[in-house]
Amino acid sequence: MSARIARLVPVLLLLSLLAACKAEVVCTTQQVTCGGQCTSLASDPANCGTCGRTCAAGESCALGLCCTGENCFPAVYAACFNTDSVQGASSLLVPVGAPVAVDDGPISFAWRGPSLWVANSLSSTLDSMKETPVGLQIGGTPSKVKIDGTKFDLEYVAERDALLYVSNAAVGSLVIIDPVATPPVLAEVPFGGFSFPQGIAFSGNKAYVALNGFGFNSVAVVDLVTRTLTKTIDLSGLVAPGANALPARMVVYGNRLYVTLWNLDANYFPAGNGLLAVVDTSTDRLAPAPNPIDLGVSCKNPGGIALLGGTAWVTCGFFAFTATNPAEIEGAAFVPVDVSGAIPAVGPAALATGTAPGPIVFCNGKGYAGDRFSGDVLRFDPTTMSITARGLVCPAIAGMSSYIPDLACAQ
Amino acid sequence: MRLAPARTVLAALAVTWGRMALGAGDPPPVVLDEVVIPLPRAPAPQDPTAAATVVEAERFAGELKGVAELAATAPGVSVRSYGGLGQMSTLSIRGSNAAGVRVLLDGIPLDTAAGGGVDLSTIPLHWVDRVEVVRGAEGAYFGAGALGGAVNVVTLPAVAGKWGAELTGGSFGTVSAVADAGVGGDRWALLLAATGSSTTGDFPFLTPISPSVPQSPLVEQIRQNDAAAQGGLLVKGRFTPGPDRVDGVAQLSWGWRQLPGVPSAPTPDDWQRGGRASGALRWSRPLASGFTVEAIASGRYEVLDVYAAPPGGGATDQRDAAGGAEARATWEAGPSLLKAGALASLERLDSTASGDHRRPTLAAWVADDLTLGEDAVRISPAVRVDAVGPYVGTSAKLGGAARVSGPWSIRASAGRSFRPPSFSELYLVQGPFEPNPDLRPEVAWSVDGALVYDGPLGRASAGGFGVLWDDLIVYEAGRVPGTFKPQNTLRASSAGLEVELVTAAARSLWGLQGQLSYTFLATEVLRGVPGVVGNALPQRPRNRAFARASIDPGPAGAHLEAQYVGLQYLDSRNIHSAPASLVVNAGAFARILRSPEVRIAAEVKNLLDDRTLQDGFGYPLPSRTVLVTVSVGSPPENSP
Repeated sequence: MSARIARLVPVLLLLSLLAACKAEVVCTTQQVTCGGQCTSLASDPANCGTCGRTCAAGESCALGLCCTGENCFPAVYAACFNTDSVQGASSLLVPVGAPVAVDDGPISFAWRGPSLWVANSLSSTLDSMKETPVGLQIGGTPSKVKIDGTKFDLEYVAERDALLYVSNAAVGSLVIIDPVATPPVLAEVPFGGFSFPQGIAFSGNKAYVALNGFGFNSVAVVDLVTRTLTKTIDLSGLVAPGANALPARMVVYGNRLYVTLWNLDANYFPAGNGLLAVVDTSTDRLAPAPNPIDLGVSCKNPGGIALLGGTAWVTCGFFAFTATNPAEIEGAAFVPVDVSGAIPAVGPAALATGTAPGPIVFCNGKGYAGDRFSGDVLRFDPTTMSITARGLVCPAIAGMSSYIPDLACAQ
Repeated sequence: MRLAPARTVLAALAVTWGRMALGAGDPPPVVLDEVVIPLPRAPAPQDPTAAATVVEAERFAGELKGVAELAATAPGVSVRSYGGLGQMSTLSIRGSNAAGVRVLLDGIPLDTAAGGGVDLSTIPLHWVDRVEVVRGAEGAYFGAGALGGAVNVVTLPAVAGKWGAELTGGSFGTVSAVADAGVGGDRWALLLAATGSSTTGDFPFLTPISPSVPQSPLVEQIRQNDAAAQGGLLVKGRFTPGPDRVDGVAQLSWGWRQLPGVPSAPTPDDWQRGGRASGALRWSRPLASGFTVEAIASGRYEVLDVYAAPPGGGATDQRDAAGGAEARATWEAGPSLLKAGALASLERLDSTASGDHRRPTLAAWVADDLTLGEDAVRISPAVRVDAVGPYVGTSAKLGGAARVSGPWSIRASAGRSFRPPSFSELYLVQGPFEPNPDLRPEVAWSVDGALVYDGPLGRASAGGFGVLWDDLIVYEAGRVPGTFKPQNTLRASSAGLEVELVTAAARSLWGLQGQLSYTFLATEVLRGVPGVVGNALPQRPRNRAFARASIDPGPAGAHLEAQYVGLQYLDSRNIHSAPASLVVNAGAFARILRSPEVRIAAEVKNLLDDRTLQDGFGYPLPSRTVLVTVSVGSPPENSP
């Protein structure tokens, strides 16, 4: 190489770099370049999910997937307990977007403003997620809250006045969290070891916590101002001798608290029909008869409850730990209870044979329930009293089970 | 000893089960007139080139230390305690599970088919003569199950004319007593030892008012339902009619303890009780020059009843019986000391939780101990095949040691072991727990190496190790939602450093002795469920250290020791951790009479009175504990 050529090399390199800089396209953080153009892989039908993937005629691109109509947007989010993820699903129960990896054992959701918080049972943490143009993503400040301890078992999270209330079954307490405070865990209301707190509901300045532990069978009343336990409402007298009430989920309508009772025997088998206890929130005493409300022979082990107007919908279904076939599920149903009148009225049950519906939410008038046996989500039409769609939202890891402990409506 | 013998400080006679024969000129293989020094020793008798520490109980006389506490003075060992005196404690070696440590009492395996590791608190404190801790995949020497290593607890020797009695009393209603006596003649000796101990366990501790809230104020509580009591009877003897030798041991122990639970979920009415009867009889005879045969018969019967009070509780009863026979041969020819053996045993475990099951074991092994170049190089290969029920596996070990210069030598070894699934993992049906009869054995591969100094200044070693754990059994989500099923899902690695130093170099300064052991342990999950790969294994502290200094100028002595356990994760996600802890103990003794020897000793455990101490499972550990021991016995053999 002659000396003249050698001197030209750096000049040529500089020119080529300048040319490259001139050709560079600057895109927004949500965009990438495909064919030299900025585009969003989340929504561009010509580059859906990846550059060059074109959606078919009539299809849209949403969250990086080609889709049509309702399937383009998540209607509901499912907590996939066994795969440690949160998965969105369309109203047709088709998974939408990629699963969001969270900590160990996601078990319960609560919206706090634009953030969807999930309580992770086995890691004793809460993760915050936000809906973005590219789907649900971990986000927020902070995006994670840790609850201290040496044993870990969160069961439920609920939001009230921007605070998160968490049932900590490992300790037997209600943990009060302000996610933006430092430190975020503000207080803890103890109920006692093995009290196994479950569902939480609010009325006025009170929080009600279902104490599901054997020997407790009660509802704790917590003063939200003083953050102290003010009373426990004994439910053990509502079941037959030898049975355990085992309160689980609750809703408040008017001045009544409705509490699902598993009503199981000492071996965790049904001791009778599923029951609904009624508490007068003005006195924090059991409401007068009929109490408990018998949910009928079609309902065993009631697992969830949600309000739609003046009707409380209760989901039911029992299976033993040894069950391997959906046919072994008994008492599976959606049971409506009209709570709008002076006396609650149980309507005819909509059977859900072969499933074990647990968590239930109503999103834009549609009911969604997580199947505790399969990882499927069921769409339930309360008008026609029928299951109108079913889809696998939380696939199981090979050789293991799948379990959906909670659902949340998309915003 | 063949390689760089430790200095003789005190001579005694010890009879060790499971010990292999030594070289020509020694007594018959099972009769080992050995030197005993009041410092940790190596190598272990079973595996001559292993990473091993021998902890002499005599060094801790009057300190009421259990097997777990003695073993924890060795590097590589991590104790998992569930409370104070009398409460369950298990061991982990180099990051293993408790089930991956083989524990033997006078050579009799204590691991039951139930699995879960051996509760070391069931071995009466006063029985212990020494604890041999062998680190590494030791299945070739100790049988299936020794993934992380093995611990052989050797009980008091039978020495004619030796006798003693000891009484201890102290904090939290702790009382302990032992009496032992040896009788015999030229050809026989018999030891009879009886022990008993109890404690109310009602120590104060500090616990957060709100355990979920960071920096929560602490409140003092008194530990409730934490009492324990234990008794034991040990009979041990030897008989040497001519060239034959017969050894026998019978052990009977019984214990009861309350189960207090963790502070946030106390269990005020739970308890457990159990006992163990075990025995072994061994006959040996030298048949020809350098060739010796042995035959051993041993058996064990255990009872364990656990009561968890309602609501939600229940009772679990377990009965375990095991018996077997073993034949061994030792042949010394030139530089080779060849050993071979075979055994057959049967174990039956009847449990209300996992049913009634039996499992036979057949095993055969061969091991050599080659000494070359006038003790300059030592090579010890070993291989063993175990058939434990349907699980057939091979364990192998290759070790070597070489003298480098003067007191300096190097040692290294590599091994493989397997652990068959336990009956609990295979058959347990309880609540949400499913059985899994399709489990495979766990496997461990280990390598280690160390630089060793054994000379006038004492003994020191510094080395590294690595272990690959494969097909580890963990409970994962079962087939049915809400259930858990054991699966071979986990692969993990351990790597670290082990440093050990014992010195009596400054004995002229009031008999000053020092001991230090340090372990650095890094573990990593290589395969598992999403979210745990790359994490450290929980309940494995990364750093652990033990240091002790003692003086013994004559009629009195004193010691000071510290045990440091570094931060450890509590969960597989490595989100929660237990803080590091430092426990300081101190003690002193005075010799009041020399013949008979009468001593009074005082020991203060947890001298700094740290009331926030807890184990990796959230169980509080005792606050400052003061113990006073008065002992009387035959004078030491080297007393004037």
